Amino acid sequence: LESARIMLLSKSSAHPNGIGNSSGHVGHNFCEHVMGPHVTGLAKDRVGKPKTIDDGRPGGFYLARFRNLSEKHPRFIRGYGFEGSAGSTMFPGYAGDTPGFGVGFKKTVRDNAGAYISMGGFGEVLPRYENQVTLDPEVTDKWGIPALRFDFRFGDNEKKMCEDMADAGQEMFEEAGFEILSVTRNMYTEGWSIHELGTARMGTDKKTSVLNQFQQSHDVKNLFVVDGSSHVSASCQNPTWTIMALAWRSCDYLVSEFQKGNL
Amino acid sequence: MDDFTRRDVIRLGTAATLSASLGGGEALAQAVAPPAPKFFTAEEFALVDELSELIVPTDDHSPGARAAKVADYIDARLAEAWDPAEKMAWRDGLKLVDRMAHERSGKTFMQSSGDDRIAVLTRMAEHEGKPQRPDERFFAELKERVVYAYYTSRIGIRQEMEYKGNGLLTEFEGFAVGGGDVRR
Repeated sequence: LESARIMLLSKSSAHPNGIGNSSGHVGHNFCEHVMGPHVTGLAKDRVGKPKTIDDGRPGGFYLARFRNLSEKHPRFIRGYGFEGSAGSTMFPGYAGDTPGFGVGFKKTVRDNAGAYISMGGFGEVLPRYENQVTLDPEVTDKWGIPALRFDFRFGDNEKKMCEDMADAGQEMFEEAGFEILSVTRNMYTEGWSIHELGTARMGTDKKTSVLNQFQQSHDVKNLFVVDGSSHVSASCQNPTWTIMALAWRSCDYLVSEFQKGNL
Repeated sequence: MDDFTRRDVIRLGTAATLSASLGGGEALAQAVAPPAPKFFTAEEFALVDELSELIVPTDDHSPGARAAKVADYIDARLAEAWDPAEKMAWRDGLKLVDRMAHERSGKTFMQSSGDDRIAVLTRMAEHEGKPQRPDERFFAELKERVVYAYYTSRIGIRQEMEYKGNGLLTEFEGFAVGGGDVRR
């Protein structure tokens, strides 16, 4: 986001809408990830079993995207993955939600340790031109420089996708034989993922995109924007590795162009 | 002191009694006497200590909240809390517990019988998860703190939950997916 902000702030006679913004797309196509719906269950086979060393495992589990790969879903496009965890943990996070008190409460917490499983959806927010950040006419940072103003709303596709997260998660747990304790259907609010992407997107057409495939500005050849701004879509994965891979490619290209004297 | 098990405490208690009769009890009694509460009054502290033990009692598996010094933990956290409303909620909540005990038995909570204490706590837990009344809201706060303090204590982690820490998992018993025989 700061890249888009710097570009929008960098106005001159040559770049009246901000540097590298002849397309007018800087700040637009803001996208991120949508989360919220999740399922919690109890693997009854595991209740009361001896404690295992589940913290010795690396991380939780991940279910890769399965919607709109080979079959088209009737209600939304693109897709989501599930991120989950299960097993014994040092602190029984479910203890506070276990009802009651006394010996029975304590035994339930103890017996259920290692039997809990939960997972939540992590979905793609579609890039849309109208979702944008602009320079705020009133709010500034402590140096008096305009802050960003957000104009961003989830659309119908995100809402339909989240309904499916809850339905599919519940169906998977039922099929697996878990006792379902809760199905949460609510979406978290816009901005929750703190994965701000897409405000200087890449593309082949300089009229509809800001950067080329090397994250190099279409307008200004020695300007590279090496972060998540270039992403054309948020996809349904965490963006850090993609940002790193693209940075690598940009640097390779930058070095070779520099050596050729093109920059 | 944190490493004391319940057994140690009992043993020390016995030692203190024995040595008291031998005339050396005072020094030992001072050594095991808990420091004065930082936030609660002595009466409030005793009440929190009892409420915590009722929520997570000692059972045949492990010591409970009293042995884990849950009241000490809550006292310390409230002493350093920056929000006066948080402190006030506890003062008011504890007064309310005594008032409820009084309505029931004409006595304070600590003077009430074991059954009356359980009855008061049961009433406070009536709509757990969707607390409405002030006493129900206080129960939610009380239980959250007690649960956090207990299950992050040495007793809670090591004895009650038998936490083993990081280690090599040579075998995982797994879960029979869909009731079938797919065990991994």
